[in-house]
Amino acid sequence: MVQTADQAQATKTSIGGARTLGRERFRARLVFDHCLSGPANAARHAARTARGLIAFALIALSVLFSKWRIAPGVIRPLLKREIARGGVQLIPLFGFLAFTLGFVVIGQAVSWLSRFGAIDYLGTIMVVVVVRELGPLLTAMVVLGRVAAATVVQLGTARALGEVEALESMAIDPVHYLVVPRLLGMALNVFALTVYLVLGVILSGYLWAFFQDLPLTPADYFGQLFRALGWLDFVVLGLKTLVFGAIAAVVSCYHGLARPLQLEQVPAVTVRAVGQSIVGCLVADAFFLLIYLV
Amino acid sequence: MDWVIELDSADVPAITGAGPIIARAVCWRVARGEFWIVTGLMGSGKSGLLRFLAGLLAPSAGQYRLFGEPMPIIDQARLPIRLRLGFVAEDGGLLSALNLAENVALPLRYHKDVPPTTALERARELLRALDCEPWAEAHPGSVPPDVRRRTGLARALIMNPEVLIVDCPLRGLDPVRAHWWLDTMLALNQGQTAFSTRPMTIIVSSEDPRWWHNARAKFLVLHDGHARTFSSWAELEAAGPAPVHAMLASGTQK
Repeated sequence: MVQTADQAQATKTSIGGARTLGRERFRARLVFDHCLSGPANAARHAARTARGLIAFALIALSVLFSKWRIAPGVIRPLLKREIARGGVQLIPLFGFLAFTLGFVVIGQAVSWLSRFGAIDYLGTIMVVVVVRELGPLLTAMVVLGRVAAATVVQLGTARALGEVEALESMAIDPVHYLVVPRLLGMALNVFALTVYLVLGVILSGYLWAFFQDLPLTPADYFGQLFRALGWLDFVVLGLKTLVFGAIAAVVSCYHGLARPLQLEQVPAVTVRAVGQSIVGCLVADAFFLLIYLV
Repeated sequence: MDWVIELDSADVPAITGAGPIIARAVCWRVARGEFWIVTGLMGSGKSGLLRFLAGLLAPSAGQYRLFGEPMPIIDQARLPIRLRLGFVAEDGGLLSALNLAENVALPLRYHKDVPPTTALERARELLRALDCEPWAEAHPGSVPPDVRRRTGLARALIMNPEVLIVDCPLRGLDPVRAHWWLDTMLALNQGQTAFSTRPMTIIVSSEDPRWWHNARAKFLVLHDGHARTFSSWAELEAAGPAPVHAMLASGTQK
């Protein structure tokens, strides 16, 4: 069709306008996708990692229960080594932590409670803050930093040196030999160290209260504590600490064994393992909180 | 015929490397008491095939049977069949956290619940027989490669296997140490060692088949993704694939 110059100009303008509108929409779509793609990719990656971790945890637990009676002469010494490495060797550090934490908690509690004449609630504060939350979480974080990080490096190195394959060639289940002692060891260590820390904080807390000349007899202090404690606190403390230890073990073993590690990847993978363990422990802690709210 | 290893049109997968399959449609039978040399150029998949035979991988297609049972065997009930096979990796496959004696004793302690003292004593006997006892308390990282390899052999032998698979035992060795391995493999095959009087079925991988021309062995050649068997050195010389002929014609005689 033959157009006049004006018609051609109008067409050009409308086509150009349509193109401009199309480009702007395209740009807006690009920006929208870019803003969403980062979080979307992160969510996809997190879901994949969570799936892998849950599968690995189920495998480790199934091996733990199905091979409970197999090779006790080999597995028990490995378990004892893990308990010594991640438990007994940390006793001095936890003694120091208990001493300082007692001061911190008591110091803060006393400074606020005495303003409102509520010093009778000191025992309750100790139970709620230390026994229910701070004790288990702090213990898990310290064990993570000291033991879990080393586990990632050890298992990553073992895998790189072909030791996993060597175990398989001897018909020894690598999960049974490498993971189960660490899983049991870390769970027991976190439980035992938490009990040790809590007792230490309670005792050092009273010591600090004594030095601050608080009108609080030992009978009053421990009476408050026992009145604030319920059977549920003991059950939840035990379960929570075992779960935290298991999470630390599963995550660190998974990252050490899941895929072959190059030397330069080890620091990043270690940091990732510790970060994911912290997130896992906090999520588990939130679930346990529901028990108290229900 | 008493077959110990049977591969029926098995596709052998690779553990590492670009290609997913090392050898396709492998049909291979190993009878009790035979001595096989798996050979081929570097990168042809010899180590991958031996790891496959050791049960570290399942076939991508076809079947692999060990003493009539499908491999890999991972269930506890059929474990005794799996333990009739011993595997020696090229570098010995030792655990770095254990010393050599503990490495050798590990399968005995794990599978037979033997007390540590007895197991370590037996381990030291084997290390002595293989001229490695001076290093019994050392860790794998601090001993020569040949000692690591011999310790891997001791660890495989401690379970008294009927089939022994050894990956590249001669790689990187001087002629004296290489002849030690030749003589030991032959003696194990004929049941003429101090620590094992029962003849063993032996499968060894080797880049240079000329080392084994006097071993009365059979040969399996990996080339271009396929496996061909030859029942004797003479047959290999006469009808082997081109790379084997090139190999036989090159370098010095062994």
